[in-house]
Amino acid sequence: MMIVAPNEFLFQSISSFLKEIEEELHLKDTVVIDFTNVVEIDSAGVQVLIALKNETIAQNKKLSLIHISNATDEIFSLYNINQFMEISK
Amino acid sequence: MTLDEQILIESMKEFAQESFELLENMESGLLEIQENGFTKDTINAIFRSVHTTKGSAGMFKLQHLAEFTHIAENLLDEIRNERIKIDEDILNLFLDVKDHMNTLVLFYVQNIAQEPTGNIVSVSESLIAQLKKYLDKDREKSTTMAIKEEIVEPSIPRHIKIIFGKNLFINGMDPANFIRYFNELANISNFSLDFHAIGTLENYQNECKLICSFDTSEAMTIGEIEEIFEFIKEDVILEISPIVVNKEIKNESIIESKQTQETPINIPKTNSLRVDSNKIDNIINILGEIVIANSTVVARANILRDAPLNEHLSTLSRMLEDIRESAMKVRMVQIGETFNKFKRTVHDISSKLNKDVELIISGGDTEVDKIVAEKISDPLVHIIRNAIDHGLESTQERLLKGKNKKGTIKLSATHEAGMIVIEISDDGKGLDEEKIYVKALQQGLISNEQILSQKEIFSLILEAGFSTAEAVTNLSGRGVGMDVVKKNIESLRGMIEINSAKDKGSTFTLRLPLTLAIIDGFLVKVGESYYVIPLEMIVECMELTQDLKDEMHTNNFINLRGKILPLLDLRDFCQVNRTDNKLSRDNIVVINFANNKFGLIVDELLGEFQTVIKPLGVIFKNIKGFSGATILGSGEVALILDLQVLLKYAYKK
Repeated sequence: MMIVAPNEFLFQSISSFLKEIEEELHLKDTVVIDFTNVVEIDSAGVQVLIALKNETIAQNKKLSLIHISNATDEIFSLYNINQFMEISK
Repeated sequence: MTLDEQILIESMKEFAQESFELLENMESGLLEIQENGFTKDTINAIFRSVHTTKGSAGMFKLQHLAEFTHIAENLLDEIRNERIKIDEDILNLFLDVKDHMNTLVLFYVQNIAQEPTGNIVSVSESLIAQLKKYLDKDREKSTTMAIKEEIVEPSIPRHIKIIFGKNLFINGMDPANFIRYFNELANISNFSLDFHAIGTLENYQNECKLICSFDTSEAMTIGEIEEIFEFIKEDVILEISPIVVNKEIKNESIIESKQTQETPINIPKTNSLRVDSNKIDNIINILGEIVIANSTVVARANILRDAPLNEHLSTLSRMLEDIRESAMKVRMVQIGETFNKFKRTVHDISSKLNKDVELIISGGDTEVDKIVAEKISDPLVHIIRNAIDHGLESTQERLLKGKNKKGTIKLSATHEAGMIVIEISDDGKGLDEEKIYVKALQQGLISNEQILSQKEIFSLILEAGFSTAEAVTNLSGRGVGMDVVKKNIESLRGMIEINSAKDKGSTFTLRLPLTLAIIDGFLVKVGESYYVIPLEMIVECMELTQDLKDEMHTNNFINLRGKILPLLDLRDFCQVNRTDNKLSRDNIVVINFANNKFGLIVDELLGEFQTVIKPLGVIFKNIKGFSGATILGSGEVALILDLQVLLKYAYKK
């Protein structure tokens, strides 16, 4: 099972997503987030993903982001996080 | 002449020498700005040149020069403080100012304790009027604007660390937008984000914890960087430092919010000594004599067969060679100094002809004897001038041919087997082989029967009186110039080769010896005479066996490992009889000159020999094939072979 990220992955909308992800992380060793619906993402969204990645490293778990859209890819490239995370288009 | 006058003349000479160097630096700086745009370092270097010249002029009480330079300095000061923007017109004005300062310095040296009058003063007045026009404009601007104290800061590539404030997200700001904007302005690289600073999900709050760092490819002032973050200046900490090239330690200067710090301008410290080049020439001449004297002693000692004496002499010879090499190195200068002068030549000629030309220089650090560097200057000017005038097409013509509208002249230098190879190439229309041939026929330079290779046809443009230019411009086209080029190159024991392709351009390759004073030679004997061959040109020596002689038969070539090797019998060339010694064998010395191989047949191979070149007297000027002479230890004279001429003979046969 995977988590589907909201279409607006922004500062205003990530609180509920954060709760969902914490529950998932509690249950599983591998967390997969589907970015199919994401049309907009900001730096706050990127920061949450990095915090999540740091968390999975600390808990010795895995995180992968799939179905990355162009909009998401642009900001990921800008922050140069593609090498830090397991990402697929 | 009184002692005081003598001292004054000597001091003025030193002043002039220093001023000419400073003015050359000024010119290089101006052309650098024209080519690569304004930088604080360059304008500061130009300012320093002018400022020092003004100071020296004041010290020598050269009133007119000091006053003229003072006004130029004022305008430069405004430019370096970014109160006036430098443009093409100002650059050209300063190039004229530089030329005029040169004229003024020259005047003072030639007319000690006098002030200029007449034409020189009118030129000064005209230039001062132009300089003041800019200064007055600036003053008007200053009075209408509020006086603002500006901190002078250089515009350079920077390393930047940004610590975004925790309230950014809450205030609705997205750091990504600032980074994107920065990238557009300054083309950022080496971006890194501090992942650890963000932490984990434990106690995660919606605070911004982004810290990133990167380098800017473009030069920026601290003010320009701060301006980008003006909107969030209360919520960001910037750490800005210059990008330090070739240094392991980055000298970080931390600038928080409004704190700014000027990066000191680095002035390279050099540990050098200015010596009159005549003094060095004198040392080299004496060393040359010592080398000859040493050879004489070695020859005598060989006869005496005194082992300890020979041993000491061998040590002495080795040390002499070290001194000789060190002395020769003192004379070596980087060819780049000569090359850089052509930036101005290209600038002036291309402006006059209304052509857009770029000069690309490579191999400027290649070293060559000072005399060679000086003497090569004139021929290069001729070649470059011709390349721009005849080689490069007009902008319109280039666009029609689908070429870049900007023509390119490439100037490069490399070392190759004891020679410096200078290439001047353009991407113009190339030489018209047929047109040159027809013109040469009409001008009687060649006859109908002559069969010429493409290279030989191209080299016809180097003959006296040759010109195919339909219109004689004031730059070139009178047929004077290229023959001077050939003469100058040959007088330096060099050679010139031309390659060209239609619509692709032409390349002039000049091959010149690295030094004119001493060469490492190889001594050979033909009959009772000695000859010296420059060692770097020798590929191998081999015996001319009976088999090879049979193979030669009546031809003048042999098959050397599958390739034809043309041969020239030095005995025939020098018209000497062969040695009668039946035990001696004939030898071939295989020479490689400018990528052409040929063999010289000689009687005896005597080995390596350090050779001081003595020029041949006027009486020998019509004798081809010898570039100089040298005196052997025994006191006998050996002629130094001019391989360029011998090569032609070998190939003709």
